Amino acid sequence: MNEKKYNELMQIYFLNEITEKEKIELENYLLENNWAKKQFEEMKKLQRTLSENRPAPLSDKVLDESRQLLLRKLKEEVSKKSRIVQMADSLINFFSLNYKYAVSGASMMAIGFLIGYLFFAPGNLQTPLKLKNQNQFDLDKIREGGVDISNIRFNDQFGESGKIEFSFNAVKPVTYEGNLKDELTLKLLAMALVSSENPGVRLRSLNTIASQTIKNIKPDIKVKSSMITAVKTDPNAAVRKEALNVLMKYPYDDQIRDAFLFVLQKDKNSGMRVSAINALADLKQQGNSIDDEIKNVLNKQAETAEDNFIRLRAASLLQEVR
Amino acid sequence: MQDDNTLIQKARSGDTGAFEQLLYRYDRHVLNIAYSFRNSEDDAKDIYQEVFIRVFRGLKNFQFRSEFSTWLYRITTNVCISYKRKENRHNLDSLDESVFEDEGASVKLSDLIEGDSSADNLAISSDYSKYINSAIETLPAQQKMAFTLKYYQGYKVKEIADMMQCAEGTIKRYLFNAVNKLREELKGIINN
Repeated sequence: MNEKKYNELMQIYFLNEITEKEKIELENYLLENNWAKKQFEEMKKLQRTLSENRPAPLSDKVLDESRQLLLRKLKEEVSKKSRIVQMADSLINFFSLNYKYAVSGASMMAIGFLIGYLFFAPGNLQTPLKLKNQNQFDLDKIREGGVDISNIRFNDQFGESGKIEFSFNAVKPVTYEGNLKDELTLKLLAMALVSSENPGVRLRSLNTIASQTIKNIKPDIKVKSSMITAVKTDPNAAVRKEALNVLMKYPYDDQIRDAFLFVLQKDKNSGMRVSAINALADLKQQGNSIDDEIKNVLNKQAETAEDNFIRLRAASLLQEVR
Repeated sequence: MQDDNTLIQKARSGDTGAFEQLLYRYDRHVLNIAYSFRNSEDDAKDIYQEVFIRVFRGLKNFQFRSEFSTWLYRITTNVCISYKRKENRHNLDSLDESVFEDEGASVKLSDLIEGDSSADNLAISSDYSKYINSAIETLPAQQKMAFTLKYYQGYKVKEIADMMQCAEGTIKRYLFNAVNKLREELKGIINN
């Protein structure tokens, strides 16, 4: 038992891992035991032999060669990665690293745009209906269905060819292409006149209708009605003035008379009131009769009109018809 | 100078320069451990390549639970212990290749020494080291590894235990058994 213990202590001694206490114990044992001392000497020789046999470190040349060979192998290893694997790695990295923030941000923006479009886009996401023939749809049915033509858009300048193309939103977006002389075209323009919120569109519609309106032309009832509505109620004075001009071209009747009298009495724009009284004067010159309805209004204007020109003009007209 | 962990992170993201820095920091030790274990320059080169290819491939899985050097030397000792010499590459220097190839059935070198050769003859041939190396190669792989790291590379028992993932007591046992066996094998040389 002791032999084994001290044999291991000797080995620990030669391993340079013996503690001071163990060292003292071993030295005392060796001093007292000749057999152990002999064993120790043999062990010492073995240690010396093994130490002398320790292999010398390999040269730097061997190390350099190994390094070069390894780096070549690693380069090959990297290049051996198939394109599919590289694509897979790229995809994994793409979705697991920083790109995911950019992608998610872009996705959210796209979703936001989509939702915004669905909420605020005019009409549904449908291809505009393109029509070239007035027989392809019935304007009256469209109107009865609560059509919204507030967003009328002219796609072309009113050309000399007489062709016109514009879009508006009905149940679905509609693009219409027709001739200015077509009844449907004029009806659509008249609808635009009373329904569009854009004064430019209304004025443009009116100008278009005016350009196609010759003196004493028999107007479509709905177009005429739109003109009367416009002259009475359109918030834009230029539109009202243009509507008045168109009405003056139409054959004179009570509706037109009432429209002129309404403007003379009610319009806040003095220019419009002057235009209205001039329109009445033109009617007289054209040989139309000045009925009592007109005379009563002229009397009232001759007495109470704020505008001097209106008062004088009204009085003058009354004298002429008396 | 960048620490190992920084270099590892860079190497993981494809920075080959960082991997080279790691390589140059430790590869001399790896080569010498392999050489002292195998006592063959070619084997050492093979082991060197195998170790660092394993490190390169395994770097992405390194968990930083230990020092990089510890992990590297564990790989080195594993590769050394499991290394099988390439056949037909060179004639072996060893007098007794069968000793290496089949440890369990190996012929005792001392038998050879005491048979045809005497210590004098060996001295005359000036080739003691061949017999010593042959004796060392008769050791089981684990003992041989512990012996190599302690006697030839100078590592402490605790360090060897970390590298070989064993208890210190186990390493001491490997060393005691290895030395006892070598003492027996080399008795003829030592006594002369």
